[in-house]
Amino acid sequence: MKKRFLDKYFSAYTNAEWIIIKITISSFWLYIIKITSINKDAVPFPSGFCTFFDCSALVSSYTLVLFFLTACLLTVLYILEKWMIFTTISMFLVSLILFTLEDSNGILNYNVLYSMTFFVQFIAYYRNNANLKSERIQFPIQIIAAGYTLAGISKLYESGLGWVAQAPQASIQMLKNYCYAYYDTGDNLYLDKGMQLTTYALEHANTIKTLFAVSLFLELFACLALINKKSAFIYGLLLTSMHIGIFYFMHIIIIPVFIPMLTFMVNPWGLVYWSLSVISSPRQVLPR
Amino acid sequence: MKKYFLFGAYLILSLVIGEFHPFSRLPMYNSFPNYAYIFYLSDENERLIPYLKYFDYSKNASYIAFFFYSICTQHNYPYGTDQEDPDHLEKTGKEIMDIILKNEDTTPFDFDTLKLYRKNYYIHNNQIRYTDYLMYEKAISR
Repeated sequence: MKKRFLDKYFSAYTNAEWIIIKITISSFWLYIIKITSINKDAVPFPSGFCTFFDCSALVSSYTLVLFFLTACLLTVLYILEKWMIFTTISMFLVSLILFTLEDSNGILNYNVLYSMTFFVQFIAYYRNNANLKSERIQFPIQIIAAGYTLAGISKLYESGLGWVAQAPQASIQMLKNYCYAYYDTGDNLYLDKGMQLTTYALEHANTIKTLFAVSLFLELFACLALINKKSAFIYGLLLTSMHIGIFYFMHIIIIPVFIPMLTFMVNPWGLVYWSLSVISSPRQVLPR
Repeated sequence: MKKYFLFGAYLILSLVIGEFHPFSRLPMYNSFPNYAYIFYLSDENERLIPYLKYFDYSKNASYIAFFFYSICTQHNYPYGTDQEDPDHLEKTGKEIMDIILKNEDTTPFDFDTLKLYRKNYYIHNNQIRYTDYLMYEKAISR
């Protein structure tokens, strides 16, 4: 029965799952857009398309408010599944502009997966074929998997396999992130926790190296998530474990990467909804 | 094949194009140099001024670090492992201080001087050490 339940769950993407994915991803997107829209009135470090055009006209308080209101409207349209070709490409363009402005203010948050998610969903809706229900979720998963693989390649390119050997030196990066929390809040607990974990990392170098090697492997082979819905879910759980480990040791959640991955690959709220719907009407859902 | 087309296309384009939104090689933590810079504020009595108690989220500790690296890169100032020229540090400190105090109403502040420090953590003989360096200080008019 357990096996049939899981087989059914992994056989296709349901409308309910899609609605939950849309609400989750667009809510976080809007939250990031809100943070990105505040307190900018210049483009001191031009990046992306701002290296070709003078973007200073885009960062007045009026235009940023306009972008935020547009993002609110687009989020509503996206959740209501209205004019999806127009809506998804518009969300991509708003992302492109605001995240480029953020990069051009020297804040490198790597929000690329958000922008690309809406772009590839635009492709799925533009194609509008029989596989739309699957493609509007599977296309973003391809981009997310590529993001992890790029992160892995970047480590190998910059440091080679020595990246794993460097792991004990990561201890001061762990401390750095706890220090950020301390200097942001003044709460000594962050400093104590940071020192405690850093000392552990230095004293247990082999454990840290092993964890880093596993993380690098998971990043490099993220394409395994693309085999089917089940592989995406299992790989998503492994990546979630990796992010929990990163949060514990380094006190960071890489939200622009973690949230799209969790939403599209694991979709925990979708799984909860599915489980509840099976429990409430088992005869309709489980095949004989 | 369709399952992997966008994966491959985005991977290749990002590797070729590099850091140009919406493309990126996502180079976070791709190396672990033996230094970690943290930038913090204190007042004239060396009392810590926590960023988020006095300023909004756009001026938090990690963003201040982003500003430092972006300013150094823009001016071609070498940075890392305590190698910065004191003159460069002062100029960078001034630019960061200007960003911190930009559009701020200083009347509610309970200090007269704002100091920007750079703390450098590093490992020596398997022990964590650090240095503190005063980059810039500014009198606050209230």
